[in-house]
Amino acid sequence: MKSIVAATTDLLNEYLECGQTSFLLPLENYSVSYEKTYSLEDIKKLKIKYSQVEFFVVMNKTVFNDEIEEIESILEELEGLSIQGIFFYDLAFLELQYKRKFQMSFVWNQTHMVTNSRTCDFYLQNGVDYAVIAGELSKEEIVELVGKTKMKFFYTLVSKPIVAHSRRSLLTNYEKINGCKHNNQLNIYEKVGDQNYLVTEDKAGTSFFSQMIPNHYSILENLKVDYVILNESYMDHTLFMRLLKPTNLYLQESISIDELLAVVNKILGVDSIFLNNKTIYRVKKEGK
Amino acid sequence: MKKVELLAPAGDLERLKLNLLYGADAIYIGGEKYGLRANATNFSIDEVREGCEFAHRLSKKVYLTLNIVFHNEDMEGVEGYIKEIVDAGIDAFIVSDPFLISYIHNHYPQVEVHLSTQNSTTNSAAVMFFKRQGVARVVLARELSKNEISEIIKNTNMDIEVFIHGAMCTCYSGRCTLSNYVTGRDANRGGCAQVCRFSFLENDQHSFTMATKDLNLARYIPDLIDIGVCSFKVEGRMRSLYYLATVIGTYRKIIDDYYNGTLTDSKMEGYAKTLDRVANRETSTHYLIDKADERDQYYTGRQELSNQDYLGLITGYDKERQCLIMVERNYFTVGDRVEIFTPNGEVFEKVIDVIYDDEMNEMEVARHPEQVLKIKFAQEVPKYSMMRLLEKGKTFN
Repeated sequence: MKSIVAATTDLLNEYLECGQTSFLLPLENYSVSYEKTYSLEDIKKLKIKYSQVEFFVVMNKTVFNDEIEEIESILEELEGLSIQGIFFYDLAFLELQYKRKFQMSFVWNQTHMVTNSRTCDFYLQNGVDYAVIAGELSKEEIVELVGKTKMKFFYTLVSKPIVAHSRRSLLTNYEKINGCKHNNQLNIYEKVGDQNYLVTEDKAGTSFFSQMIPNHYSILENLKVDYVILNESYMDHTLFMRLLKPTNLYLQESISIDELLAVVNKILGVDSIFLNNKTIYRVKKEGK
Repeated sequence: MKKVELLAPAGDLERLKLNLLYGADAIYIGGEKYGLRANATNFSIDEVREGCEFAHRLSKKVYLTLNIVFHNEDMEGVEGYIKEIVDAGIDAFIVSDPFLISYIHNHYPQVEVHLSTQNSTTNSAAVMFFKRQGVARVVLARELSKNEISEIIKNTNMDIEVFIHGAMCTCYSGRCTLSNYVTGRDANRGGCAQVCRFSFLENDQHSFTMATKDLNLARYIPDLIDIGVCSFKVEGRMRSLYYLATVIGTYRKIIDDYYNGTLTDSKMEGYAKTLDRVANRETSTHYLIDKADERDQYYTGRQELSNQDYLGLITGYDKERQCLIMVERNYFTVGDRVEIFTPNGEVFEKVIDVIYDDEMNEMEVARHPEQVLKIKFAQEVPKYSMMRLLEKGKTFN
């Protein structure tokens, strides 16, 4: 198992110094819900500067017809750069892969939909190499999901979880009505769940994040995945590095799971959101 | 040219029958498992069978939603359930999971698979991917413009269904777990708590809301027919009989008038007014013409209005006394000007001259919902006819 980082800067040395060898690069205009995005030119420069590093490019935007041609040519360029793989959301990517047979890995990254083994098998047979496990599954569900398919997986270990995404410009709309400015970011509070959420907006629409960083480390020992994702987006950099360093030490077998948990539990607390709390979908009715 | 399909929602058998009688060509329903309205009244296998038989007698169709995002535990038993539904006579499944699409396509080629809007399909390449998997129809995302829809139809030659009326999500379908995080209820498995209609707080001060107005594309029906949309979907499996009768009946008339060349501007105005009066929220076209913006949302919390127009359901006719028998829904009085409308599209205006209870005692005011009443009327009207208010009378206002 390796870690892969979505950083918030072009300067990767600090991450490399703590043993980081894999990075996620959200592509400008074609990725959503990341703090830092990279242009194609940025990616080319990073590939040259950090030739020994593994890069996956994120293109998780919902796609429209007028973008398909450009996506096809971007995929061609990324293939030429020997990028390790593409994180995609829209199934247009699988149609392009079916037509073009690109020599890169395709990573099924439909945020909340990677939830069962049989569908993973379907994608495995249709040009997908990896899937990113949905963040709303319980520990038992994740273990079962991974155990019942040959799909290879990414699992998000550290992040401010992405909660929702809209094509609407919700902050712009709100500002037009209230006459205030938020620089495309707003913290909102929801009283039923007593939780804070971060709302961000860009050209592709509006994203919602939980402000709470859930502690997913308790599953690490039993997790049979190829990569764990540490996504720095909208997190404090110092706090992020305090999590990344011991994680990499554990993955390099330099510290034990107990030593790792002792550190991260102190930083994150023990709330895992869904890891120990399965979601429900049928409200119990009286007398049933 | 194949006539566009009018596809109506039904939460139970009564709504299924009513919609078909009011002019729907097909109905979509949820079963007791695997649909995105887990907490609604849904159809048992026997009810699916009865609904299909009723629809098929009228040469109409029934589709069943199987569009949750499946977890491993949900997959247990799904194959047996699909077989039972196929045996009950279903015409198509509305599915979002690609594994199930290929499973149904391979095992039951006689039944169509429609791709659910839960997949938020927004481009031709994604439609072609699903066409290769055996999908017969794609329900496009509600985030598309008329030009984008038109281009997808031209590029793919696929049967395309679009939503024309009803409630809208704030976020892309399938890309929203606000309900999961705020209430613990899984939005993608039928537990959506409509958190996008909640009011949030910004800095303990301002209220941040993002609730959407409803969709109403009545005025664009001709354009959507012209670009080749094959099915018009109305949202609202949990809506009232009156709402469904009004909305489905009105769209039936708009579609038929357009095909017959009789849809005049003044008729369209009348239809638009009817739809506006039954709505419990304001409506807009959202993405169809321009990108959705601040005009498509509410900023002051929930905005549902109760509608008092629906006066009652006609349940029979007393031939001896020449009276309609009805079950009252809302307050009305002698002197009110009302309209009786039927599933056949007939409309009769009347001023209420006398109201009787079921023992023929004369009353001036009907004030008890669910009370059986009789109203003088010279002719019998079909089952599921309804009475609505046009104008309050002067005497008892």
